[in-house]
Amino acid sequence: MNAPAPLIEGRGLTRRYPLRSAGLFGARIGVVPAVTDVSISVSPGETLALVGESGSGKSTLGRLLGRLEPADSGRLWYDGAPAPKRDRRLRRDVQYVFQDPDGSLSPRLTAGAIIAEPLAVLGLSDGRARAVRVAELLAAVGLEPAHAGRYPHEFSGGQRQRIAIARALAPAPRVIIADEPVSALDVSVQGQVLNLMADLKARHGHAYLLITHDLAVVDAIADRVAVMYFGRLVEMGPRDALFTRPAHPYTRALLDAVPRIGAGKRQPRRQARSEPPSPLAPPAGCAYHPRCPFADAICRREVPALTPMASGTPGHVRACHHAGRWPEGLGSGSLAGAAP
Amino acid sequence: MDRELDGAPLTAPLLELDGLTVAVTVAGRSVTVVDGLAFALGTGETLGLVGESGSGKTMTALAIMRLLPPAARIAGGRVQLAGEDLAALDEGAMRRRRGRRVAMIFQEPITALDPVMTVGNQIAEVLVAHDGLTRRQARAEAMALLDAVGIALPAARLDEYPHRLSGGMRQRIGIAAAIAARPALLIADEPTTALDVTVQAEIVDLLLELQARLGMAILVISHNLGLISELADRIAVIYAGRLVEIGAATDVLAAPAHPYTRGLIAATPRIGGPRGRLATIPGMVPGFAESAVGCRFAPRCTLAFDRCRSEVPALAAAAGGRHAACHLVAAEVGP
Repeated sequence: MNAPAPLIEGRGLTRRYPLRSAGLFGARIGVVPAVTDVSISVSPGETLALVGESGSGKSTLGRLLGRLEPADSGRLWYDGAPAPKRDRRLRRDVQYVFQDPDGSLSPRLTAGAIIAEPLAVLGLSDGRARAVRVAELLAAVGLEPAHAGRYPHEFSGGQRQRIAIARALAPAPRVIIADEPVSALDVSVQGQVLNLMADLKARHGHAYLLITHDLAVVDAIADRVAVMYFGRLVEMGPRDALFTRPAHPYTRALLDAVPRIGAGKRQPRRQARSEPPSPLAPPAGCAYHPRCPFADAICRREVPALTPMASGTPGHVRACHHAGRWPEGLGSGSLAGAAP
Repeated sequence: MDRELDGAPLTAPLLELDGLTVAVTVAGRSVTVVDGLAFALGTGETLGLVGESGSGKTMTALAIMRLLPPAARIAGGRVQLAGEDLAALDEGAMRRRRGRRVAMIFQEPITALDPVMTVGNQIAEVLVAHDGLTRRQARAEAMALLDAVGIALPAARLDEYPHRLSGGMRQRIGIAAAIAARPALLIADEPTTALDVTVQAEIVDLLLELQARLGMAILVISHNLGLISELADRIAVIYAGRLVEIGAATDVLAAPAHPYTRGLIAATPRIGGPRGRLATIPGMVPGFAESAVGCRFAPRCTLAFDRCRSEVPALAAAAGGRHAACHLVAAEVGP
């Protein structure tokens, strides 16, 4: 296979957070695994979607891959070589867009200053060149040059997300890690921002790591999909393969739970046990086993490894002891292919 | 007029909004956020109220409950629940209706639940207030309710505090407290928006199951067309405080009559839907401060013509039993 060399690659990334008892100076009472032994790569120019529910570790993994925070163990590779601890290239080439532009844009800076910030920090250009670049970036995200002098509260949510995208674009990054970039926006505005992101990628060729809970958005724009559950990757593969032939019971449950617009009033489903495990008492073996209809003794004992499917699409991997044994045509695979 | 064509419920109306208008005072100025809203909800029926931010959907719910924030007030219209105008009741009388006649669940149940009160006491309080049960009877009933909303080991949960529980479990408890006094109408405002998709599906199942068992009507309010599609018999779409379309859920979703409804449905990404560029609605949701001459959707509507910018369209019958407030719809079907 001659797949392009990965741009960013995490190898065995693990991150744990200390857990403290209630109160400001609470005693440390344990550690919560946020990301456990995840190996994943982002290739140049691709859109890789990282999906999972709250507490799955997807945002933490996103922060590890751009080194917004350090991993406790595992290695980060950039452009074919191990990334040094303070890697200026990584800081320039990997930029972030977050869900809540209200929280991530400083209310005391003008849009122009916000967009110019990464340029200044990285010493990328002098004052006048920066002003020109800011005007270019505003135009690129569909805003006016005059907007440079306004403050975040003077913009709508969709416009603020455009400013966040302009800031991310400023140093001409090779990867933009977008963590729920449209989740806070109205549906009628979501598409505008997602289309803008697609247009910018077509023009600049950067890759996206799109972190989201919204599988419908993923289906519309991702090239590849990685599914996380309780800190681990449970399935990863090309979008079409994963949506039409989901190979992990959790991926199936996720797809099955997505409402289908216009399909009529819901018939009650077979009741699944949906409570995710407590991080304080992680289940042994496969973390999904308490919710999984196929779980048996080995699932309660051993963590399944991420392995390729016997007859699957290249690059489609899943971590399930029984992936080959339960009927492949069952569940939401068929639903995912049927447009209403 | 034929019922089906009337945009009316198929069962006897339980809730009838008649020109409901809500105004909010912003910087000393009164701004209309719900503008003459009129629709009916039948006994045991589910109506989905769809709208984006600033559409006035939550203000509508709070007006029905008479729980509007201090800066907001009902500026006109009636809220008929089982023939009684809630908007005209004094606070004491309204308090007796809340819980028993109409109850509400919220996006984040923690805001509705008292953080310093155990789960059991939250529910028991409703029962003591409305049914005059003793504390002991109420506790037993609370346990039965927790069981009914699918909480495992209800006896153990009774003495827990809400913050110890997952979001899905908190919403189940919010539902248990809301149905404790067997209201005829349950208002659910974004009941699953804060929840993961698998938990969301379970709450939908629970609401459907409870409705089948208890026969209550549900007014479900959301920006999420998927959720509305799974729960609602009929759908009402509001935009900038005004009703723009109402009809049977399957009809509205399959063949929307109003350009805004069409745009909203097209813009909602769906699994198995079109790939690549997403459909969008140009522009943005208007702020309330903006002047409201003509159709409020006109500035974003690709089909708008002169009349749309000067005259508010009335709700008119559209093909297939729906009603839409659009001059084009009126022109198509009208004389």
